[in-house]
Amino acid sequence: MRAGRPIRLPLSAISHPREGKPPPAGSAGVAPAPSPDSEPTPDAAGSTDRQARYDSVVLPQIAVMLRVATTITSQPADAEDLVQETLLRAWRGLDRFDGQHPRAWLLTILRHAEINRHRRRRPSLLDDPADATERHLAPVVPSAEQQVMDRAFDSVVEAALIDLPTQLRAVVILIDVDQLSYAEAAAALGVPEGTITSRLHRARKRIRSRISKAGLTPRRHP
Amino acid sequence: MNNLAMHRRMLGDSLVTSCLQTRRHLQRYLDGEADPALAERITRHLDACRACGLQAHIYQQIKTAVCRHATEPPAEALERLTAFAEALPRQRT
Repeated sequence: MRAGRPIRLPLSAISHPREGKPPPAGSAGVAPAPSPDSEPTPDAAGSTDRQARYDSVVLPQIAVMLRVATTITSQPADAEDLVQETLLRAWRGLDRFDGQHPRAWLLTILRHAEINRHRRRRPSLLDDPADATERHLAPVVPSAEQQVMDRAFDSVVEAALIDLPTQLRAVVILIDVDQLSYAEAAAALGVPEGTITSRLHRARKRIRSRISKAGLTPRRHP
Repeated sequence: MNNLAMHRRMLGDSLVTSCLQTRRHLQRYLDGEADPALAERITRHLDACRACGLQAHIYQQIKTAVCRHATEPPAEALERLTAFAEALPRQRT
């Protein structure tokens, strides 16, 4: 498996909120679309507190947000734009944040921002998920005879990962590559945590099956 | 004799039940999502049961292989975003 080669996901990996129904008030990621008119106008003391809260809640999560954004977008520049939009929305929605699970809150905002970002694009510019998969995930078919065992194992895992349905692959990448918890992955994809568990189970079972078929089942060292 | 029957004979009914439970919760365990009591039971079972131990080992190897995709975000992008975030409250209030 080639190190340093991020696997991208098309937008279809993300669950969209119901058409025409905004997220419920008070839930994570409910910041409204950016609008100068919606800016809060706190007094000076409140402003300082708010700023400190934003710094403590949001700044530590920027690296994680950028990794996840890179996973769910097709371009690094898109990922940076997406995180910037998320930072702005987080600032505007900070007063509605209940203080629990800041990463999941921010990833939910990021998901909504990504969905809106695609809605703003012209249809002709929308990525075809299948095309995106082909572009970013060229299959790797190694020759097991020509490689040492661990490299062959990695290659089969990568090929199996690439061949997974997008929804299953998304969960594996968010958990194993982006190192999210199940709750955070659920927030990033907009699905229940149980769905994360079941998709993860199915995905890894398929990968394991590919390894078995390739005769690469690793031995367990005592 | 199938694997389940063989395990039942070799390990006893209680451990066979544990095999089923272990495999049901194995992914959650490997991802550090199992509660401490469950994780402790699974750890003990994996030490005692060769079949489940091997399966856990394979899944752990898969996780390790997938992890090799991990890359650090570009430092320049992180710096730009951090600067943006730090400046945001000061601009907006």
